[in-house]
Formats: sequence, C-alpha cells, structure tokens
Amino acid sequence: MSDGHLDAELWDHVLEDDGVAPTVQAHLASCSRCSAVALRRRRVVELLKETEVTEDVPQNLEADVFELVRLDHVAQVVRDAALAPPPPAHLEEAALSRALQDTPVAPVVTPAGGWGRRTGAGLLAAAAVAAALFAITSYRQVGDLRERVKELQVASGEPGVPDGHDMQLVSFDPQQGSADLELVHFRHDNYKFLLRTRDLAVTPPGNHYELWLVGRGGDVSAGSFRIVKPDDITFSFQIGVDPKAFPDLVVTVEKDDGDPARSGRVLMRGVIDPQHVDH
Amino acid sequence: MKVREIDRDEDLLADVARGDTNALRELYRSFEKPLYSLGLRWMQGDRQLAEELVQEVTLRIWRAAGTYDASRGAARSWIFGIARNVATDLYRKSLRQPVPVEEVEGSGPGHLDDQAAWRTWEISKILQDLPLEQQKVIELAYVCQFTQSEMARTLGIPLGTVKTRIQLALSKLEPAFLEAGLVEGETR
Repeated sequence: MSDGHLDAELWDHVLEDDGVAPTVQAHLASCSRCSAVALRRRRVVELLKETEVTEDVPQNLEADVFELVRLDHVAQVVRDAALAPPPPAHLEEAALSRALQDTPVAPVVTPAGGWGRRTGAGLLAAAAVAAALFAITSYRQVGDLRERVKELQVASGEPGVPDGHDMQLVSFDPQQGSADLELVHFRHDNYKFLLRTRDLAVTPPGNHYELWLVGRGGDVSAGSFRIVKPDDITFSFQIGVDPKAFPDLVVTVEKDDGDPARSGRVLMRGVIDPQHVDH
Repeated sequence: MKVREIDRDEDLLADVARGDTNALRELYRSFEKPLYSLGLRWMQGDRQLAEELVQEVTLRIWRAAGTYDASRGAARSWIFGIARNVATDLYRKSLRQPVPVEEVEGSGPGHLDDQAAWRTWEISKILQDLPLEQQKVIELAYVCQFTQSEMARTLGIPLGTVKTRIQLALSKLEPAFLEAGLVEGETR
C-alpha cells in the first residue's frame, strides 16, 4: 500500500486470491481511485484471455521466409515475366542471330555452361532461364512455403539448398561503386558466383565487364556483363572448374573486339579462401 | 519502453529500405509470433495459410520498405496494414468461391473484425517485450489456462515464484496497454 492506495494487493484481488479479497473489498468500497485501477486491471486480464497468443510458431518458418527473401530477385524476374506482354514473334530469331555474332550482352543472367568467351552462350542460357521462369508464372499466392522455396531455387539454377560462403570484392576506385560476391556450391561439383553490384559505373561504350578466375592454370572467364544504369543488380555465373585451383577473382573492363583473351584493366579484385570451398 | 520500440521499428524499416537483411531479420523477429498468431485467427486455424501470411508480409516489407512514410503513421501500423491486405487476399483465395465485397470489407478475413485484429496484434507485440520467463507464465495462465499450482509443477518452480512472475508481468503490461490505448485510465 502506498499513499493510502493499494497496488500489489489489487493484483491479488483481480487474480481472485481469496486470502486478501475481503480486506481489499473494504478498501475498494471507499476508494474510487483504487476501484478504477482494479477495473482497468481486470480489463488487462480479460484482454489477455481474449488474445490467442500461440507459442508454436513453426521452427523452420524464419529460415524458409529468409530463403525466399534471398531468392526474391528471381521472383522479381518471374513477376516481370508474368506481367510482360508476349514477346514479338521475330524476337527469338533476332536474339539468336545476335548471339551467333558473339556480341556481349547486358545480362540479367550471364553465362552458364562451359568456358571461354561465353556471351552468345550466355544469351541462350538467359533465354533458358527465362523459359524456366515463364514455366512457373503460375506462382501461387496460396501454396506450400517449402514448395515455393524449391521452385525459386530451381528457377535460379540451384538444385538444392546451397552450401557456400560470402566473399568481398573490393572496388579499386570508390567512384566505381562496390560489389559483393557469393560463392555457392552445389552437388555434382557445380559452382555458382552471385555477383551483387551496387552503383557500379556504367560500362563504357564499346566495352564490357568480365569476371575472371585466376590461378596457376591461367585466366578463366566466368562470363561478361554490362551495367547500363547504376543500380543494385545481381549477376549469376555458373562455373564448372574447381575454384580452389583459381582462387583469385578479378573483374576487368574488356573491349568488344572479339578477342577472348584477358587484356583490359582490372576494375576490382577478390580472393577465394580455399578452406571454405566445399566438395 | 513503447516509444523506444516504435523508434526501433522505424529505424529498422529505414535500414531495410537500404537493403539491409540483418535489419529485416531483426524486424521479422519482432513480428513473427504476433503475425503468426493473428494469421491463425484470420485464417481460422489454417497453419499453412498463417505461414503464407508471414512469408508474404515479410516479402512485401522487403520490397516496399522504401515507400514507408513515418509522417503518415507508426511502423507497426504500416506493417499491420500490409498484413491485413495480404490476409484478405489469402482468405479470398482460400474460399475458392466468390465472396461478397461488402462481407470482406465489412469485417476482417475469417470474420475477425479489424478492431479485434488490431488488439491481438498490439497485445502480441507488447508481450514480446516481456522477459521470456514472464511471457511463459502469461501464456500458461491465459492461453493454456493453467492454475498457478499447475504452472508451478510444469515449470518446476515454487508457487510463490509463479505468483511473483505473474504480478511482475501484469505490472509491466498494464502501463503498456494504457499507452497503446487498449485500456483507459491514468498512470499511477
């Protein structure tokens, strides 16, 4: 009791503890302030009784939700594909013709498959991924969360939950923006680099950017890409060599001259930690 | 306590808008349980739909955090609004049959009216701020409807400790409920 008013005793009263109720009742009969507080505390308890607070949120919910967040850039492509009007009939022919000219493209998804100058193959790979994405444009609002995660993993070329690690590519020139690179390892010795660029400088006309793996065996191109607008963009590069043998990563600015050899200046550089490459 | 929580949610949303997934995870942990609880009520106990709700709301926050305008309302109200919209969509789809517009707009999905939904949301969020041991006794007392003796046996603690924890928890909840407008009166 403080200042002639009840406090803890009121909780006992509200919680119907028989031991103190008669004493409190007597006080409440003459104290309007404590009566009001008792009334309010009863309401607090009533609200708690009305509120069905569950304590069994599924254990995997957070992990599944954040896997979807991680794959949201894929879902974005799916949504865009679903919203986009059907492509003109002549587009496929034009795209294939362009691919055969081996001209670097401004990709959302860049090369999948083998090695070397891959821009033409990259376009075809992008088309294949786009086709896969179109195939799941029935993207459900109501459905099983696990299924949705799996669909997006497949659409992004990930046949299973990835097992990889993050690396940092450091930009040489702060004016050029920045990038993070995540190495993802899949089954069957397949690896993927997810290169997330932030405000990387627009690719100079007549040039393209190219990601290289550098090791004792020489330089191996993972694929080329262009930045047409400074933005937050993720590029995906699927590779078929062991990253342990090519631990240095560089992004160079290469001329569109058809020469597959590396000759341009280095834009940024990173190093793979072989200890974190899984087999 | 409440003011700091509101500021924190708004700060987190600003970080999420910059693409910070750690901020999204912290924000997520503040609403996962309240939203899942609300989802179960909205979706009439359908756990899959409640999970779908949590998933969709998180994705929409991730995508739209940049559009949040603090001058137009608190972050928790903004998130609640998203949750309600998503729940309405999910509920409509789950029915697999046309729903009269006035029915959906007049009451929340699953016939849980907006006021009750808002109360559930607010109370669940407030409970999240209690120490875990106090959350536990409140849940046992009011969700599981255990007696204090049953709680003492379940938790393996003396009956007096159960009473103390309940009173401590209620003493913290009372001013928080008052501040959130869930109960009326003056602070003491």
